[in-house]
Amino acid sequence: MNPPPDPPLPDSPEPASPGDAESPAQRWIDAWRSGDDPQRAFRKLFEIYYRPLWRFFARRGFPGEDCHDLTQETFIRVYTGMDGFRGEARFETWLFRIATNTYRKSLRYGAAEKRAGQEVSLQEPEGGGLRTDAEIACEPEFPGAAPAPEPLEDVLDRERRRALLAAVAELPNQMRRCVVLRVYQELAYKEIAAVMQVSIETVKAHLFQARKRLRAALADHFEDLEL
Amino acid sequence: MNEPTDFKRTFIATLETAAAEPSGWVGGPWERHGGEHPDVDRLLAYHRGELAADDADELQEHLATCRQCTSLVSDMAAFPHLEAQPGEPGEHEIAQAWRRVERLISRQPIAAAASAVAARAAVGAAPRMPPPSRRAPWQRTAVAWAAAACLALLCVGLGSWNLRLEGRLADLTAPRPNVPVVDLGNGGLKRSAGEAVPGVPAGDGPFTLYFYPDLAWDRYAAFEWSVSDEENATVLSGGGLEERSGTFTLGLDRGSLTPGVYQLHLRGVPKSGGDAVRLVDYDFQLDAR
Repeated sequence: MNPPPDPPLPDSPEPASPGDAESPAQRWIDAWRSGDDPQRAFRKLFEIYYRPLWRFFARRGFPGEDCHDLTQETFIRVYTGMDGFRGEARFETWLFRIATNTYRKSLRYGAAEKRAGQEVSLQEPEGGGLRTDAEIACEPEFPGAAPAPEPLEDVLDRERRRALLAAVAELPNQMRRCVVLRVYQELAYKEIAAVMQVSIETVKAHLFQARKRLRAALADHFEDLEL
Repeated sequence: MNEPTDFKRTFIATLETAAAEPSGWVGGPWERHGGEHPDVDRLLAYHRGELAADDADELQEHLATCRQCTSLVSDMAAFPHLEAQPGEPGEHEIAQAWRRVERLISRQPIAAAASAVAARAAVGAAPRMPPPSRRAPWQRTAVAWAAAACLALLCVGLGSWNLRLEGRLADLTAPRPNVPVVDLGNGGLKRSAGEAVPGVPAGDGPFTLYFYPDLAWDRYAAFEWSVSDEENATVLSGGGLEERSGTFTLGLDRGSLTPGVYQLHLRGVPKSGGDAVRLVDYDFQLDAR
């Protein structure tokens, strides 16, 4: 008897709600775990998840070739560790975990290589390490002379930062985190809601309140306070 | 794209300055602290809402200023339906990638298949026999032809398999100069002791691990070994290790491991009987090519 025809390969797997065991890959996961033609089952899983994994690495800023290498490394880890997949969690969760570990491992290697590649001059100036341009610029022109007064602009800027720091510190924790995610990480309301595990309405309410409070506290320092 | 406002510029600058003085309302961008990120299981537990309130609160504080972990948590919700990225691989590239991966995994045992067979044997499940059926004479002829065709295919397959085996045998018996030998020492994990982990140079082909633990040799009837990766998953294992003048050697193929840090575990089967006991663990590292 011929084996049943394979379903057409999707561009990426069909959406499945969290906790739903029936993903399009389930058939091949079951085939793998039961030992029925595991090589074929693995190939099907490879074809289904190659592109999502490639995207996972591309979204983290890796160039295309590196995304291929990391995706393939992830699949080899999947293959060698399939015994560790007990089916208690979704296969996709397990796959994501392996991809994340592969990603973090590559960052560690990248950082180590970068450290190994740093060149340091063996000729240090007398009295310690190399001085930065800023340090040289700040040196008094005549030894023994009093340090030049700080420009007014810098003083004002420091004052503004101090006021900002104090005003944000006054915000309740959840509200403050929403502000940081919005301004520093530039996330959309929907993304903030997903990260903070609250509704979009809650995010909007937090940001509305934060804007009101910050405007009141920082009116003298910022004219364009938008969140 | 809009120019960042004065408020936004100052906000980011304030946050980044706070990294040097973590006494502010946030510790500054996490990456600048050089601190450890929460492990992926903790992020997954947060995503599933399984963390205790205090723990979740602490994690949210980290997420606010850590772009890396925030993007992972965002992707957890979306995976595998992530947004398409420029330069996506086409079918041809995926097929090419499969050929590369297939070459690598062909050197690995098929763990799942082996364990499934073992599980079936353990529960004593008898193979299911098809019920006897009465066939028409033309059906019997067709079955005979199909069987003959299968037999012919099997012969061709066995022939080509034999040729491949001969080729691989020739590879194995050919002299191999410059096989790296890695001295793992007499015991103990290097990483936990802060020592350098012995490294295997990049390249293809075999390498030999050489180790000489301090053991009461006469207590053990046999020795087994296994190699696990950084996630503590066993990637290779076997038995048959023999002690020669207090020394063990183990030859492995670099092609069967991806670059990374591994642990070699030595176990001994006690003469007094019982299961093998864990004796010594060694770290070694396969360098990136």
